[in-house]
Amino acid sequence: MKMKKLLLFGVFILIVLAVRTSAQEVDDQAKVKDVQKIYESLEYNTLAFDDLKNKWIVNDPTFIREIYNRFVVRNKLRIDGKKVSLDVVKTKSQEIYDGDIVVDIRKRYYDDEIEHFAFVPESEVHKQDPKYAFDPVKDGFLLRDIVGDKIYDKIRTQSYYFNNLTKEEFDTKNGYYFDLYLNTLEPRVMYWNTTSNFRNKYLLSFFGKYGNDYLFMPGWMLGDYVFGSSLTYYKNISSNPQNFTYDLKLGLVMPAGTPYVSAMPPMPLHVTGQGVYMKITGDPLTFMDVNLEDFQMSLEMKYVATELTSKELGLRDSTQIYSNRSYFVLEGRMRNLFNLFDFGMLEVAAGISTMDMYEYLARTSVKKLVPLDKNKGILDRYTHHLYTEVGVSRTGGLIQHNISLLMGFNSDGYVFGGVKSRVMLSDNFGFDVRIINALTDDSKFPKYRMAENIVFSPILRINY
Amino acid sequence: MIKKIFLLVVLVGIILPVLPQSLDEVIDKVDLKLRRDKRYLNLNYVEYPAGGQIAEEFLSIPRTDEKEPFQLQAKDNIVYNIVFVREGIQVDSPMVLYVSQITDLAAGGEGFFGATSGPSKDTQIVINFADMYSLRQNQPQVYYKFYKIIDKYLKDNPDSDPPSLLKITPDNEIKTSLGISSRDNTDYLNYMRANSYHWYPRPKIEKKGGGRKKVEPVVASTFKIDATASMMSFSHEVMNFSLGGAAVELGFEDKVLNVLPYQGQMMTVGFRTLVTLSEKKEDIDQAVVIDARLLGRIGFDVWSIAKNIPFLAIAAPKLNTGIGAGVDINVTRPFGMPFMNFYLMAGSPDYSSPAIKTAIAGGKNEAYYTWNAAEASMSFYWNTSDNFVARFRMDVGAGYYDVYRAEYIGKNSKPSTKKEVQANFYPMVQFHFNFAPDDKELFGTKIKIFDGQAKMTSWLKLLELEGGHLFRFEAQYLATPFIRSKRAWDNEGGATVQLRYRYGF
Repeated sequence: MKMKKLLLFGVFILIVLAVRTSAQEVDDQAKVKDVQKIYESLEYNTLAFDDLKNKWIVNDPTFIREIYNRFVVRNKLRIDGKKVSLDVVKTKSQEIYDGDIVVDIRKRYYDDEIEHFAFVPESEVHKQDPKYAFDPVKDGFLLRDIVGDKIYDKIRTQSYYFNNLTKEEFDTKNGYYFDLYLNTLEPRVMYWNTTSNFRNKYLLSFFGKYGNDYLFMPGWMLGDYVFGSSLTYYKNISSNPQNFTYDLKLGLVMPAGTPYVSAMPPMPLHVTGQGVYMKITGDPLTFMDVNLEDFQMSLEMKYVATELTSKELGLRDSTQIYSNRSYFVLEGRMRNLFNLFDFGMLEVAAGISTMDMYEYLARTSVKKLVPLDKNKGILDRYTHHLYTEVGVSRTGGLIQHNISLLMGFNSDGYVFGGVKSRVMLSDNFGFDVRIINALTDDSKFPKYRMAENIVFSPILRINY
Repeated sequence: MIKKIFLLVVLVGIILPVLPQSLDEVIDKVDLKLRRDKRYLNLNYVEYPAGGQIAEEFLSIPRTDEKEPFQLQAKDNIVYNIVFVREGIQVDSPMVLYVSQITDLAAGGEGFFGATSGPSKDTQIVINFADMYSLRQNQPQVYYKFYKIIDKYLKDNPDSDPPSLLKITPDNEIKTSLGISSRDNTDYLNYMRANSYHWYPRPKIEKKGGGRKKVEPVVASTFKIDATASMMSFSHEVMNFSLGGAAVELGFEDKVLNVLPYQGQMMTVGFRTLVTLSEKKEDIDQAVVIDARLLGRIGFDVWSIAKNIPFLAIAAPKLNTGIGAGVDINVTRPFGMPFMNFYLMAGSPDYSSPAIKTAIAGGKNEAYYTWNAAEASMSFYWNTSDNFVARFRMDVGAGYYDVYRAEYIGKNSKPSTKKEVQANFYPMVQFHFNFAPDDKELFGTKIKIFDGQAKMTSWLKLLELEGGHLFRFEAQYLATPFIRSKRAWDNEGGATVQLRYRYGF
């Protein structure tokens, strides 16, 4: 009985002690938190630049051991703020020997001191929220105190093997002050802008256009160059140039040569008069449903109104030529369907295009060009195409691209397939390549067409 | 029963909280940081005593680590900085961190060697963070007294920040990743001042000091010269009417044609002036300014001289030209549009006695001429940062020139036939880069692509002598046509190297 009472008393004392200790610990923990809070508020806060600070990983195994050993000697390894036991040190040391632990380092933004130092398992390095081997040291001066001046300065000056992980900034933006998009195939130079309600934007740009992909005569294969001015309206200011509400282009059609030494068809097309060009693009379905803003429609047309003489065209006597004097393209395009394997937003388009063709004979004895196909009716001159295009488009980040596959059926019985590829680095430099080939027998191809069409241009874009 | 009790004891042992990290360790980390970090500490301080009286609470301040209590002293050469953190993500109200004592050794006569050598002030932390934290926990009346001092200061000076320990200067190092493009004429003037042969007036600098604006007159020489062997300009202060900047020029360069200096077979003379369309005549930074050159062209056999100049590695020219007149106009952002440039040179055809002609079959000679040329472009400027160290410019536009061919029989000076062989517009793109660290132009380059040829001009500052004399090394390079086949009148590629002297700019 006595023994029982003694035991009960002992238990009571133990519980009182435990509760008291616990209360003391809670109080201490609160104080630690309080001081920790002060500790973390001493520096000028540069949290907003964390991702832009100089960051690297120390991979040199011997140097990592050097640093690690200083922590061991100074007994400064901590896990959750607590000193680590010898067993843990031994286990972690094995990982150091095996080369499984590297050192993650970040410098302060405005000076050269280190603000983050952590031993981290190699498998955790690239994770968003890595699990460190020990508590990180978030103060260069504490680190200097632990590892000594010599090692600290060596860490800072990066005189060892390391992997730089400093982030570079790449941005895509829509320039509303000026926007130069220098691409021989489709250049654009914005020269004026205004707003009517501080939310929208009207942009005026000069534009150029070489050939027409949807007639399957890209670049210099069509023989003309359109130069004009466009009005682009943004209902809301957007950083994505494609998010316009509507875009109206008006231009003049001019004859153009080939900028590079290039294979051309046996009888390249001639521009036989002064022509006009128009293209309107918009999202008219938003009148019915605002969620349909990604559905764009466009109507494009060219019409050559006058007729040049043989002399004005500089043609020799008895030269036979072909000329396209008008075309129409009607297209529907659905953008931003979904993100395709993180490669870009999928978009699909379908459309119909039609182009006329005239055949002339130049005679120096006759001022006007002599039509060789005057018996043809107006509608007989037209060749129609039904086409579809599927592509992925990506804006923003380091690399922007717009890559699409094009397939078309010609009313004369030909099938065309092609790839259009526009790739830009940081939205500043890039290239535009368009390859459109005949997929069917091209032996009966008209002489003004090429079975294989490759056009390309470098791109330089500067916008502010 | 015993077993149950034993189990209970074990459980109590298990559920006891794990040992937290030591409070002393965190306090030590704070102290270390406060002692060592001399640049990044975002802390403020208030000087004490302001009126010479020491508060009663500060006559014996208890300290930790068995240190003697500290007494703040009221001496003329001693001042105390009460250092505190004012605000932070987790700090809602100011918190006193430590007190340092600043002793003016010179004033108190405490320097052994007097005030003539060594540092005149001694700084010492007398109440460190551990002491202050202990005061906050155990002697709140003393801590509160410190707090009241800084609180009073902050309330008495709501519009000014207390002195800071922060040594970094974030306001001076503001970075933008996308660079800038000036909305006024700054970029244009920066570019032209560095590259043009003509000078641009600098506005009077208004400096704010002591609440009053002071106008600093711009010290400039009475005349200005910018000269290379192929281009020179001269301006004198008597020509400073309107905006200023009027000048005369003489040169052997062509703006449109793909030719190097002296390859154009002509000399130009010109008058340059600046005209503003704005009401404020002197506000060259903001005004719509017309920067105009009126030019006269004289065609003659420049090659006969140029071929003997050693620093010109150029081939013989192919084109002849004659008398002409022209205008070169730059307009700064008319109607909110980009900077516009227009150039027109028109000449009267004269096919007699060409200086450059080539023998062809049948005992004939042929000669090529150009009479008219034009160029229109828009200029766009941007900089990598608002420090204007790396400055860029892009000209986009089109150029035109005509070419005529004439045939001569034997030694006849009059042509037997003449024919226009070209009169085309070509797109023109010109990219410029200037490097100007600390707003001092050091290097500049530009590359122009026009009519299938590229022409590059670069300069590098050599030396700047006292009195406003500046020397540059300047080179031009012309490439052979690279995206088209060579025409009969195309010049071969080549290069020139010259020294450029500027005075008074």
